[in-house]
Amino acid sequence: MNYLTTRRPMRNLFNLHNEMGRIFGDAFGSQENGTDTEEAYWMPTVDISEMENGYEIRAELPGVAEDDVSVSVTDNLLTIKGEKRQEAETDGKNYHRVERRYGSFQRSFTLPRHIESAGISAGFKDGVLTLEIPKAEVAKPTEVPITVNS
Amino acid sequence: MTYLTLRRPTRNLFKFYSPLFAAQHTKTHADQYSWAPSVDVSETDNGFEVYAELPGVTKDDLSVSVKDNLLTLSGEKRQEKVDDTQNYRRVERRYGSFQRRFTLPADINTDNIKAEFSDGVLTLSIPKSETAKPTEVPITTTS
Repeated sequence: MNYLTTRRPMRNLFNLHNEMGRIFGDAFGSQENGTDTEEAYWMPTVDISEMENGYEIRAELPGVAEDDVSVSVTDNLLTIKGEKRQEAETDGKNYHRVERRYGSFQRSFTLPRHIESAGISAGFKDGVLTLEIPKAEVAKPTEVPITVNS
Repeated sequence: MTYLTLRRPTRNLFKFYSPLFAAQHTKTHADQYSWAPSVDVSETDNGFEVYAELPGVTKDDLSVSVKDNLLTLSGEKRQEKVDDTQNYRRVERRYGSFQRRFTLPADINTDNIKAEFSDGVLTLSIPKSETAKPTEVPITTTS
């Protein structure tokens, strides 16, 4: 018996990406698990940097409207997802060249420990989403005074 | 006498593109430019539209020019710096100078090309000249 199955040519690539993430797996490892990314057609490119006071993620989302992006954090997993829409009026348009990617996108990252997820802020400018993730005040090493009884 | 020649396995691929809005790659393209933006080109009855993805590029770092029917988009994408303690964990984005060139079709009005830049996408509107627009030919019947 034959079933119609959806062709997902990108799935293997996502899996490869996932595999690479596991090999180099550390904080901010990319988490592309099978079920979630089946709906995603493309992944934004991302830079992640660490500062003294926090982390910063910059994701390239050219042509994506602010309302079409969502950022969420669950159990130390940060997820950026949304949809890039092709222009509304495509009637009477004949495309000579289509290199841009459209449709839904998603990327998830494991956050390092000792961050303040409540303090994450997001900005969106010139097609770049910037997330600022503050580090939490880690318990500082405390000095234990030693008294000598003589 | 033999010379060392650069192997360009994808060069033949470019030959199969339609000549309209064909991308122009110069020999030294890959040596000079570190990345190239993705571009869509569409055509309507009134003109052409070119959309180029340039996330994180500022308007001042971008230039568009037309010379001898060759449209050139060029500029530079700079890496943003937060502070001195910044240490990159992951770098997937491409930075540096870029250039893309396209051959424009013959019947266009180069004086009225408009460029708009928003949300990291550059949109060029290239109107067709009057002669290139489709015209309706009225049919009369003689009775």
